[in-house]
Formats: sequence, structure tokens, C-alpha cells
Amino acid sequence: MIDAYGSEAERYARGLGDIELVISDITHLGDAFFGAVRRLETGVPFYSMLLLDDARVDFGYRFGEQIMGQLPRAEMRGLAIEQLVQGSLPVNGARADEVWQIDRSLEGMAIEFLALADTTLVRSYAEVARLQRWSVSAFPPRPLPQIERVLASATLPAFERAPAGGIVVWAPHRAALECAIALHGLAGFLGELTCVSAGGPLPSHSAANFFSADDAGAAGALGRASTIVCVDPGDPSEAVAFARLGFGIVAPITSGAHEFAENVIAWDALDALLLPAAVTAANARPAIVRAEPTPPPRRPQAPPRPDFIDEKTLPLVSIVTPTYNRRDDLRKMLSCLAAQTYPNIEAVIVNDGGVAVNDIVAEFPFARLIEQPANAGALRAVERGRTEARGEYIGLLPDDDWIYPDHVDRMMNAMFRSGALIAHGAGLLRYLERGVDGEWWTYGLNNRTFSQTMVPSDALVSATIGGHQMLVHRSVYDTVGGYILDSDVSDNEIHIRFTKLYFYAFVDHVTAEFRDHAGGQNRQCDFPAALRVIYDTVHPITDRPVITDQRENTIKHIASREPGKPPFPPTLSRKRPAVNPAGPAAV
Amino acid sequence: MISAFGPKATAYAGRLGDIEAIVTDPEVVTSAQAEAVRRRGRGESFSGLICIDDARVAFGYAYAEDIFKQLPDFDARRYVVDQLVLGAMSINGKRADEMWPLEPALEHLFVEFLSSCDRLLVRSYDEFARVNAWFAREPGRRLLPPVERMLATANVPVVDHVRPERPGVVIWAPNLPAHDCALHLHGLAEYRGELTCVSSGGPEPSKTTATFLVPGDPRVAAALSRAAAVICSDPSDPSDAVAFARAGFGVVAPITSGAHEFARGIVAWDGMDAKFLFTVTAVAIARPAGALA
Repeated sequence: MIDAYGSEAERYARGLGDIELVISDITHLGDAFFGAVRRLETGVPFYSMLLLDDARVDFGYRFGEQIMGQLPRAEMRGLAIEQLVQGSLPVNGARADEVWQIDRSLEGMAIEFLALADTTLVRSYAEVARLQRWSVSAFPPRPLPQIERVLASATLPAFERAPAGGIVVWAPHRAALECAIALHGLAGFLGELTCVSAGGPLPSHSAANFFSADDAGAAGALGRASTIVCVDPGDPSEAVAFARLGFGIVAPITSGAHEFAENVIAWDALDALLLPAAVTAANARPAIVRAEPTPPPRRPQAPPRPDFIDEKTLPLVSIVTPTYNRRDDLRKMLSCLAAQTYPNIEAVIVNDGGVAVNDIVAEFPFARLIEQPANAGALRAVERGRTEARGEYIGLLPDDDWIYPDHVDRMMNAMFRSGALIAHGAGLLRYLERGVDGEWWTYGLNNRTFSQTMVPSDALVSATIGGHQMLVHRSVYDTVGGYILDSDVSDNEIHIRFTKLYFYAFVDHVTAEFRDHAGGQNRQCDFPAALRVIYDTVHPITDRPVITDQRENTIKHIASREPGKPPFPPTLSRKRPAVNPAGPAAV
Repeated sequence: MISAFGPKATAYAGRLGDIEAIVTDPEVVTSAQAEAVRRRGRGESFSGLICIDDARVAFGYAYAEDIFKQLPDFDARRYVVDQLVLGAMSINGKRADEMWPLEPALEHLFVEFLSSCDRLLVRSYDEFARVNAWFAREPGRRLLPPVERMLATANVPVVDHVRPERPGVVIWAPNLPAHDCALHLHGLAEYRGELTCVSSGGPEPSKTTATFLVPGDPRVAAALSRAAAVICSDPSDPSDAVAFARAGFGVVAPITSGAHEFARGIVAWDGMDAKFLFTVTAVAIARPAGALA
């Protein structure tokens, strides 16, 4: 099933067939983000896709007519084109190449969205190059998910070919005005010139005939055309469809149409002055589709277990949970463990002197209960559960946090194949508030802060991997010891000891959630004081002034946070709507 | 028949099979151009390829160890890598990113040569984008010839994976001197596991605990059999990375190699960003790559 957000996404998705996908226009990225999180919760793999055209070309298309329309003489328009191509055209006092940049925070959010899925679909490798630029310039940098290239099916009008040297500028999904640059480039063409667009006001200085795609005039022009100038800067599917019919094709380099068909003339879509030469070359050598690309599988396929692992003797994994007076949360947490796809799990529930939970634990045959004689704090409960756990691998899961059904399976696979004794996934921060009806409402998300791995030098300063994101071989605890007690940052501190000896396998996929809300423990702690103890007493550093400076800056930064606010801000937030938001369009 | 000019081009051409092409190193592109004119005069149809690496990554590989040698402090090296990635590091009074672009006259020679060919042969579409940039910078700009992407035959050992006792990583740089692996080795200086660097030999970078091997050493196959991930260093040729991906390794490869175009799950990495190498390696050991259909 495809969840499509935005009109462009809906239209494009219709050419993709039956596939598990969340696809979005850039304008609907926020809704798509929330939609992708709903999919994640099921643990069923899906693709992500973001339709975003090259910013430079998009700028030229949107403002080409405004620029051309102000310039009555052809040579002045030519000069403007030269400057536009170079990015030096002045636009409201700034250079054009300063204006067309995409906002960095939007790039970052796009990478966070794409990383929610196992695999990102792209329309071309040219598109991958654009996404790669965002991923390496994100803070912190983040590798892209796996990539699959997909070619949508395109629907062209029915027509009969009787080529007579005509040219069709093919832009059926764009306003006619957005074809101004291409039409300027072809202003000197003496043959039949047709522009197929979505309509609207016409560009100035053009002698082309304008039709919509369903107009009989468009079909007639296509029949007489030898060359098609495809305008779409991101989607190569229509250019490829015309290539199958043997037309000469000019298509933007940014569309990647040349990846699918030989002889496509790859053209800088702003460079109107080069278009006559491109059209001439295309006319002389019709395009030929290379081998038709294989469609991606219906859903991304999880890596198989390595051959050397015997499915019948999978090691036991213990998940330790301290609980104190949160019966409802505990039941939900145990339900998420019951949904794990890894078959050999025990839940070790440590009741930290709270109300009885025997009845709840008894509902889950894989769970067993340990009673603390009195409330002694979560860390002591964790340590007791850990030492009494029977599993070869140990994970922690507070009763108000959450792991997705594939969490244990993915961590174990990563450790099996790599030999790592610690594996962790990415963690989604979910920001909750209570509504008037008493129900939790998610007002924000963050797939950045806890979605990075741990470099040993960075672990000396702070850690961004929570206990429930990890699975750890029990020998690691035997070697370095367990959590230190009586510290608010013991889950930070343990990474300093872990990373001195161990390399983490990082499953860069969200498999765990943190839930941030006004009553949460992470908003009440005195982190600066706790970090000071770790820095000065537990792990003092005297010979690395850079680390010392970073530690001081970290304490200052945390101390400057507004009390009672989330320690890490959401990267995406929304307001509670008056009525339920409409769901995505089902395609 | 392939006419090859220069040692890199000759080695690469030997892995391309029987095609009509002229393959050249950048230093001898004028010889290749002369051959193109001869072939053109005979009315032949042929492709052209210039074996040149992304200028930025090539700069980083070539000079990182010289920079590191001046900086014994690990944290100072980390800072310098950040500056290098941004192009902001000062070298002899100039920003690094002012030093690595090709000379316009050289780009012009490349465009002249490639325009003489019927087809542009590229190792990846990422390379195509770099070639396109040369054409776009030409005064009076020129159209690119039609493009053909080709994957060369790889030359990597075939091994059986064994269950590793601790994470193993191999830096695969059989065509680079060990010295040119300094960025990779700095990025993995805090790696906790078995680290092997397969290079063409020569002086080793400073401050590394890696085991250095050369191709053909029997210990290479053993290291690979235990490795969960292979870090392929070649900035332009994706063929070895793709072969490792097909063999089920986790694979890290420079973005500029375009290896991700040929195989699923390859972790593409900015070949300059040594600091980020730690992260992508942690991802790759958990993510086996695989062949695309």
C-alpha cells in the first residue's frame, strides 16, 4: 500500500504499482513523517520517497518568465540566461545561487524522514547525488538508507507517428509559464513547435502552439514530432516512455533520463542557449531504452541471517524492566515484547517495591517477576534484574518506553554477522502531551538526537544511545561492570567504559522509542551536577584539553536549558487539530 | 580494441573486455586525443574514458598523511579533518578548496578529447556528473556525447565467511600506497576490533594499529573471511566494492565511486570525512550489501 502526501506524490504514486511506500511532496513532509512513524510501529518494512526537484532548476522554471518578461530584447534575455546558468543573476539584491538554496533545516528533516524506512526509493542516481549532499552536510552527518531506483510507468496520449521534424516541449504537469526558459531557447526554431503544459497564462516571446496533454492538438503534434524536450527536472519516466517510441529526446541532466535510455541528450535545464544544439543532436540520434529496469520488490527485504547461524539454537535474550506503580504501562510494554519477531526472549520484570504486578506478568509466559523488598530506585532494580537474567544477551527496557517488533531480531542479526558484542538501533524521540480527554497526543518527533552511534572520544563528553536501544552480550558486563548507582547519568557513563573496549554495530533504523512528557524523569534531573561528578571524579581527563573544553561547554549548554522543557527539542512538531486530521490518500 | 594511455588506464582497460574504446590517464590525454583523431579519420566508432579521480577526494588521500605528520595530537587531527572536509583548512596560505580544482586548461583538454569520441564511457553516473561539470564550465559550453556506464571485472579474493569472534574490518586499497590510506586509518583510530589494511605497500601512516598487507599475501583471505565490512577506498572505480557487496560483506565506498548504483546496501561515504568513517563502518558491519537485480 502506498501512503501519498501531496498532490504531486499522489500523481506519481499512481505509476508505481503495488508497493509498500510512504511518499511525500516537500510541502507535506511533516504529515508524511508522522505517517511513516505509524508504519514503523508495525515493524513491517516499507520504502520512503521524497519528491523534490533540483532546487536550481526549480528556481529557473518558477522565475524564468518573470525574468524573461522584463527583457524586451532577445540579446538581453540571452545575457540573463547566461547569468542564470552561472548563478550570478541578481535577484532582489542577491545572487540567484544564494536564493535557490534549500533551507538546511528542511534538508535535515528530509534526511530524518527518509531514514525512517528501510530503503529509500529514488527516481534516478542523479537524485541520489542530491540526497547524498544533504546527508553528509546534516548535523550530525547520517548515511542514507539503502537505495532502490524505481521507474514509474508513464501514460502518454495515443497518437500515430508520422515524423515531420517538429519539436514538442513536454511539460503536461507544469504551468505553461514554467516552460519559459525552454521556449526562449527554441525561439529561433523555424519548424513546428508545440508546448504541452498544464495550461494557464502563456510565456512571452514564444510562437509555440500550446495544448494540454488531453487535447487532440497535442496528439497531432506528437505524431509529427521528431524530438521531445522533456521538462520534468526529477522524473525521467515520460522521457523514457518517449524513448521507447524512438523519438529524439532532450531531458534535464537532473532527471537522470540518460541512465535509462541511450542517446538521450542530457541538458542543463537552465541553459536555454544550448537547447538548439541539444535539439539538433537529439533529432539526429533517436533514443533507445537500455534494458528495462527491474521493479523493486514490493517491500524492502530484511537481510537474512548469516549461513553460519543455526535457527534452532538461537541464544536467549533477556530484556530487563524495572517497574514502579505503573501497571498500565507495564502491560503495554510486555505487549511490545510479546510482538517481537525474535523467538527466544525472556522478560525479567523487577518490581521496585511498587503495587503488585503478579497478575500482569502472569499474562505473559515469557516473563518472570523479581520483587525488590522496598523501593530502591530504578538503577538498583536494573542491576538486580541484569544479574539474575539468564540470557546470553541482555537488553533494558523501562516500563514507559517502547521497542518495535523487529528490534531484538535486527540487533541479534547485526551481532551474529559482525561479531560485535554490542548492537544498537536508532531511537525515535516522541513528544507527548495529555489532551483534555486524558489520552496521550504526539505533538513532536525527533529522529536525529538518538539516531547516531558512539565514537569513543565523543562518549567521554556525552552519550546519545539509550539503554533500550541496545542489546549487550553478558560478557561485556562481566568485563566492565554494570551501571553505577546513584547517578542521573549512569546511562551516559556506561558508554565511556563500553567504548574503551568495544565497537558497536549500528543498525541505522528506528527500532526503539523514547517518550518525552512533562512528568518524565529526564525533565526533572539535575544533569549538570551529575555530569560534573562523572567528569571530575569517575572519568577525569587531564591530557586532552579539547575534551575538557567540550565537557565544560556541555555542562554550560545543559544548564542553560529552560527548566521543565524537553532536554532535546523536537525536529518536527504539530499543533493538535480541532478535528482529526485527514489520513493520507490511499493509492 | 582498447587503446590505453598511461599505467592506470592500461590496468583498467585490461578489465573491460573487448570494446572499442580509448582509455587514458589524465597526464597523457593529448596522446589519447591524437589516437582519437586517427580513429576518427578511419571512420571508426569508439568510446572515451579518462581515468581521473574526484579532485577533492584525491587531494585528501594524497596529502592527509603529510598533514597528520605535523600533528601528533589526536584531537588536533580530528579538528583538522573537519576543516579539510569543509575545504577551509589553510595550506601554505590558501584554502584547501582553492587548491584541489583542476586547471581550466586541463579541463578543456579533457572536453576536447571526450568530444572527439562517439560515446562517453563512465564508471558510474556519479562520474558522469563530474564530467558534465567540465563541459558546463567550457566557454561557449558544449553538449555531452551519449553516455555508457560500464562496470569493470573486479579482482578480489573469493572467501567463505566464518562467524567472527570480534568485529573485523578490512580497508581495501590494493592500488593505493599505504601512505594514501591515512584518512581511513585516522577515522578508525578508535576502532575496537580486527583492522586490516590491504594496500600496495610502502611507508605506513603514523599512529595506527592496523595490520598492513599487500594483495597476494595469504593472510588477506583470512582477514576477509573474518571481516564483516570492507571499506573500499577507490574514489572512482566501483568494481571491487560491487564484488564485495555481491559476496555479502557490509561495504563502505566513497560516494564518488558510484558503487551504490550497482549494489543494494552499500554505505556511501564522503571519502574525505575520516570522522564520519567510524559511523558508516558501524552501519556497514550491521548491514550486508547485496546485488541489485
